[in-house]
Amino acid sequence: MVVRSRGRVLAGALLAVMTLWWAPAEPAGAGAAPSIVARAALYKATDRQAFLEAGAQRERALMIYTSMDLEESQPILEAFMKKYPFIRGEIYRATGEEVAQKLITEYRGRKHLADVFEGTGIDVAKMIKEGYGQNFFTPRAGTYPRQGKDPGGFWVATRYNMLVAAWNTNAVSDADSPRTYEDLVNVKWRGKIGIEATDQVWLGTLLELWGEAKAMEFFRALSAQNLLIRTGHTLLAELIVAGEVPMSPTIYNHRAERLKSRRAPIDWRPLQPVVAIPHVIGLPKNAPHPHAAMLFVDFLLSREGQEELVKTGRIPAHPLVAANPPYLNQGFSYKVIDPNTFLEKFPRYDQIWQELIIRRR
Amino acid sequence: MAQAAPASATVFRPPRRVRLSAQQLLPVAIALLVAYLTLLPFIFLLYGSFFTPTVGGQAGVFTLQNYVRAYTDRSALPVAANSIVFAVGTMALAFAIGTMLAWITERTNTPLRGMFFAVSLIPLIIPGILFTLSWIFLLSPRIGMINQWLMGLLGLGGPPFDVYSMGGMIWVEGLHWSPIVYLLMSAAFRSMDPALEEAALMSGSSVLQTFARITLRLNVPTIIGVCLLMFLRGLETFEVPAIIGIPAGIHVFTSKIYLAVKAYPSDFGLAGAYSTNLLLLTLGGVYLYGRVTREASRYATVTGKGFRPRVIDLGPWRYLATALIIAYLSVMVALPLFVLLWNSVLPFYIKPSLQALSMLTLENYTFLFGLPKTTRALINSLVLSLGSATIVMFATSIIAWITVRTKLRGRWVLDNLASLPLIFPGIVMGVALIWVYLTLPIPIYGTIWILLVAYVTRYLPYGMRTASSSLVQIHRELEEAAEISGASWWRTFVRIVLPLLRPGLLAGWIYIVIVSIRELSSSILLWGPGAEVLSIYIFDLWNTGHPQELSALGLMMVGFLFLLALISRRLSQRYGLRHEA
Repeated sequence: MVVRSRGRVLAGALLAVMTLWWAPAEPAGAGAAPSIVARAALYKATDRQAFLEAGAQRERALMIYTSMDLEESQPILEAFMKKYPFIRGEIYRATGEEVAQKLITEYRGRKHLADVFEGTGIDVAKMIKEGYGQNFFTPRAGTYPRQGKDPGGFWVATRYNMLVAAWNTNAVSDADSPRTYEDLVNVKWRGKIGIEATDQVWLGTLLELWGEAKAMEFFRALSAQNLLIRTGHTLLAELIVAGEVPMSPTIYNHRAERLKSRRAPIDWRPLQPVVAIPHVIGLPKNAPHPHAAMLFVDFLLSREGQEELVKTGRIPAHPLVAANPPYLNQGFSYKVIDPNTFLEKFPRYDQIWQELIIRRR
Repeated sequence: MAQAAPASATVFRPPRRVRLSAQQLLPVAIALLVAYLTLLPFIFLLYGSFFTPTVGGQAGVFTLQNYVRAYTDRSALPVAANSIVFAVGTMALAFAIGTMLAWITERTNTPLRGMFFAVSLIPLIIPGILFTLSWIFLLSPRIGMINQWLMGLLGLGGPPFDVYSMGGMIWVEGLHWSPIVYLLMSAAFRSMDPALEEAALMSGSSVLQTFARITLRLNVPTIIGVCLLMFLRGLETFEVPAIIGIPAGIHVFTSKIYLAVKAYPSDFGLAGAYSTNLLLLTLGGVYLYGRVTREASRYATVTGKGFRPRVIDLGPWRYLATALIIAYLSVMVALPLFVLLWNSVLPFYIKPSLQALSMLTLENYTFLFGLPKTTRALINSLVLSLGSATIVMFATSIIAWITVRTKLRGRWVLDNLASLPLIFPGIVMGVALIWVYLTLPIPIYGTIWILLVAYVTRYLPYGMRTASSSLVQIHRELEEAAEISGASWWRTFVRIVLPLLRPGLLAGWIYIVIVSIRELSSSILLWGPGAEVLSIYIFDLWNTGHPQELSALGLMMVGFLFLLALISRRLSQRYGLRHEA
C-alpha cells in the first residue's frame, strides 16, 4: 500500500509539474488579418513612429524567426527590448532552411506565429514565392544600396556572409595558400579541399558571373580534386582548425576571424570576387504583431541595430557601418546573387552541384 | 469477452457491474487512444505520399510519381542495400556485445560486475550526435587520436581506421546501442529461473554450452524482441547516417528522407514513399516476432515457484571476463568522455599536448550558464522525458496484458497499432505530426505538448516490446491465484501483474527516459519558442559551430543522466528482484 500510494503521489506530482510548467500556452495560430498587417507595414505618414509604438503597446509581444546564432541574436533582441521595454521578444532559431520550411508549413496549416523572418535571402524568398510575404515600407531602407533591397519591397538585407578560402596554418604555409580560384584546381590540393555540402549559392553566383563555359570548366576541374564534403560552414571551419580538412574555399570569414583571434591555427584570404550570401529581413503576411515587427525591422536596419550586429562579429549590410575588423568586407570585391534569381534557377544549380561536387556514390 | 470474470468470483458474489464495465471499457479506451496516437500520423503520411507538394498556395494533386521515383531512382537499390547492411550490422554488433556483457554481469561471478550496471549506462546517455562526433575525433583518418596513436606505435604508413565507411558507421551505431541490449538482456537474465541452467551444469554441460543451449534459448522472446529493436533502430537512426554517412557518400533511407524533406520545395511525398519502404521492412519484423511468441507459455521462465537467481562460477575465466568489461568500458566511456572533456576546456580543438594544456579555459561553461535558454531546456527535457516514459510504460503494460493474456477478438490489431510508430523515422513522425496538429483544432502546435505526443507515440512500440516480453515470461498462475482469491481485474493488475513486471517495466522506463532526453529527429521539426529541449540545444550548438560549448553541455548532461541512472538502480534494487547478498 505504501508503495502504491507513493507511486500515485509521484505520478500526480509529475502531472502537476507538467501542467504548471507548460500550462498557459497562448492559443497558437491567431495571427492578424492581412489588412491590419499591410496597414502597419506600409504606413508612411509623418506620425509613423508614434503609430507603430501605439500599436506595439497593444501587442506587447514579438516573435522573431531567424537563422542567426542565439549568442548573436539574443544581444540584438535585448538591445531592442531596452529601447521598447513594453515589447516582450522571443526568438525561434534554427538553420535558415528549417526556419523557412517551418514557416511555410505553418502557413499552409493557417497557423501564424512569426512576426519577422530574418534569414538568408534564398530562404526568405521561399516564403515570398509561396505568397506568404508582406511588402513593407521602412525609411531606413533608403540608405541601402540597390542590391541590398527587393524592388518589390518584400525584403531588405541585414548582413552578409562572405565565402573565403581558409586553411590550417600548420598544414599549409602562407606561400602555399590559394590566392585565386584557379589555384584551387592545382593537383597539389588533391584530397585536401573541404567543401560545404549545401553551397549551391557559391556555384550559382560564380556561374552567373563567369558564364556557363568558364564556370563549368572550373567546377569540373574542382570535381576531380577528391573533395572532402562536410555539412555546416562552422563545422568545416572547426575541422580546418582540428587539421581534419587542410583547406576550404567555402568558409565564412567572420568565423575564421573569430577562431584566429582565439589563437587557433587558421588563416583566410578572399578569392576574388568573393561570393557574399545575403541575409535579409522579411515580414510574413499574417504576422500577429505587425506593429512590433515593423519597429524591429526599423531597429535592425538602423545604424544602432547594425552596430549591435557588428559587436557580435557579423558583417553589416548598412553601407555606412564598418565591420569589425573592417577588412571583413573591405579591400576586396564581392558579388551578391539576387535571391529571386537564385531560387528560380536553383534546380539547375543543384543538379550541377550534386553531379560535380557531391558526386553521390 | 473470453476473459470474463472468473467463475469463482461469480459463485461467491454477484459480479459488480462497475468493475465489469471498467474491464470492458479499458481495452476500448486504450485502443482508441493508441489508434489516435498512431493511426493519424500514418494516415497523414500516406495521404502525403500520394500527392504532389503544395507550392505557391496550389494544392497538390494525386500522383504515383513519388513511388515511381523512390523505386526507379538510380540510387534506389544501393540505398536499400546500405540500409539493410547498416541495420543488420548494427544489430549484430550491439547484440553480441550487449548480451555477452549482460550474461557476464548477471549470471556469472565475475569480479567488479557490480559496478558495471551504472557505468554501462553512460554511453547510452551520451547523445548520438555527441557520441558520433567523439568517434570522429577518435577514428578519423586525419586527426583520429586512435589512428595517430596506432600509427606511432606500430610505425604504420597510413591510418589503420577510417570512420567514414560502412564499417565505421556500424561500429559507432552498434557500439552506441550495445548498452540498450545489455539493459534489456540483463533484465531478462535476472528474471530467469536458474533451475534449468543448474540442471544443465550438473548434467555435465560446460558453461558455454549451458549459455548457448539453455540461457539463450529460454530467452528467445526477449532475444527476438531485442534484435528486432536493434534492427529497427539501425533502420531509423538519423545521427550517424547524417554525420558520417552523408560525407562518406553512404546513403540510407533516413538520410534520403532527410534530404528530401530538406530540399526546396520540401518533398514530403518522396519522403513518404521512402517511409513506405521502411514500413514494409518493419512489418516483416513484427510478423516474425508475432510468430515466435505465439506459443507464449513455452517460454514461461518466471513461475509461482519460489526461486533466487544464482550465479555461475566461471573459475579462472572470470578474470578474462573482467578484462573484457574493462576494455568495453574504456572504448565506450573513457575515450568518448575524454574527448568531450578535452574539448570542453579548450577554446577550439587541439590535439592533447603540453602547448594545449596552457590554453585550458572554463569559458565554455560560463558561456552556457550565461544564456537563459540553458535552464529552460534542462527543465523542459527532464519533465518531458519523465512524463513520456511514465505514460508509455503504464499504457503499454495494459496493452501488453490485453494482447498477451486475453483472447479478445482483434487484440492483434492493438498490438500492431502500438507497433505502428516503429515505421516512423523520427523526422517523418515530425512531419506527419505537424500536419496532424495544423489541421486538427487541437491547439498544441508549437507548444511542448506536441513534443510529449511525439515522444509517447514514438516510444509506444519500445514500451510494448519490454512490457509484452516480460509478461510472456510470467506464468498466468499467479494472476489466477489472485482471481481465485476474489481480487478484481484492476486489483490483480495493480497488485500482481505490475509488481511482477517491475524489472522489465523499469528497464523500459529508463530506456524511454534516456532516449527521449536525446530525441532529436522529431523534435527538430516540432519544437517552438519556449519549448526548447536539450537535444535541440545541442544540435543548435553543433550547427552554429560551438563544439566546445556543446561538449561542455554534453558533459553536464551525461553527469546528470548518470545521476538519474544511479537513482533508477537504487529503485530497481529496492523494488525489483533481489540477488543473493
